Amino acid sequence: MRLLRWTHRATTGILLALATWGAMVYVRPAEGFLYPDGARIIILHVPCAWIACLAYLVAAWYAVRILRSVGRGSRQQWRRADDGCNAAMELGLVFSALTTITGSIFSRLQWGAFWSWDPRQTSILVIMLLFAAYLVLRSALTEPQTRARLSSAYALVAVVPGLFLIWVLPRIVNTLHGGANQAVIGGGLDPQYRLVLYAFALPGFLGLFAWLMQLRMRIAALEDRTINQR
Amino acid sequence: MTGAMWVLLVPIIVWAGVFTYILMLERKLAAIEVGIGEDEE
Repeated sequence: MRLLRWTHRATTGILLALATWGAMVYVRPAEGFLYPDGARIIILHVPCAWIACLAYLVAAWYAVRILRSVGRGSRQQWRRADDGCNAAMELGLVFSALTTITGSIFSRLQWGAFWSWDPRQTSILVIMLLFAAYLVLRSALTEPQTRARLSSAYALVAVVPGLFLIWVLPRIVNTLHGGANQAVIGGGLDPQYRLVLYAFALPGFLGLFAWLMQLRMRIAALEDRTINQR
Repeated sequence: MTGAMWVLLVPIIVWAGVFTYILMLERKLAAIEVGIGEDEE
């Protein structure tokens, strides 16, 4: 188990190092950008955004498990799911904050200002606030069962506007990200960028997400054990 | 700041953010494990 954990960490570290090297050294400046070297930012910015979306989906999955088992299943079952939901929302906040910061640097180079209230920029800001609101709600509740029930209900409700803001809104209104969406999702990406993004950055960030989830849930499990002992 | 400096700043921000978060979690984990060890003694 220990060997598996260290193999996972080492593989993630190597993939992320390759992704950073790929973004900063390997890929050539992209044509069609106001500042062609600024396209390198995409390789780290896009996976951060994808991981924030993944965190939403993972949190929603745990939220369903909590609502199905709290008050019915064993205490252990819903406590574990509650820890998972909390971990995913916390990671969502971290990665959405990184997406916002790296995105605003890209915006400065490509569109001339750090913030332009573009629908995509606004949506990631709202998503970050939705993650933060979950953590505020959790910290306001002390009784574990009530906290699990209310916070998971919030996580499940918040996933609806979250997914709308991520996938629907930027596609029905005019956005500065139109060209970028076309390039990344529509297959118009340069082969070098595609290689670094899909072979190194995306698996590396997925590995990082799994590692951080595991670490966060281990802490929560130990905290539960300490509370139960006292 | 030049464009190249902004580009270079991106991996620094991303990895500094991630490492800080990991460090925070590792410290928390270590503190809990020490607490559990003391309780068991």
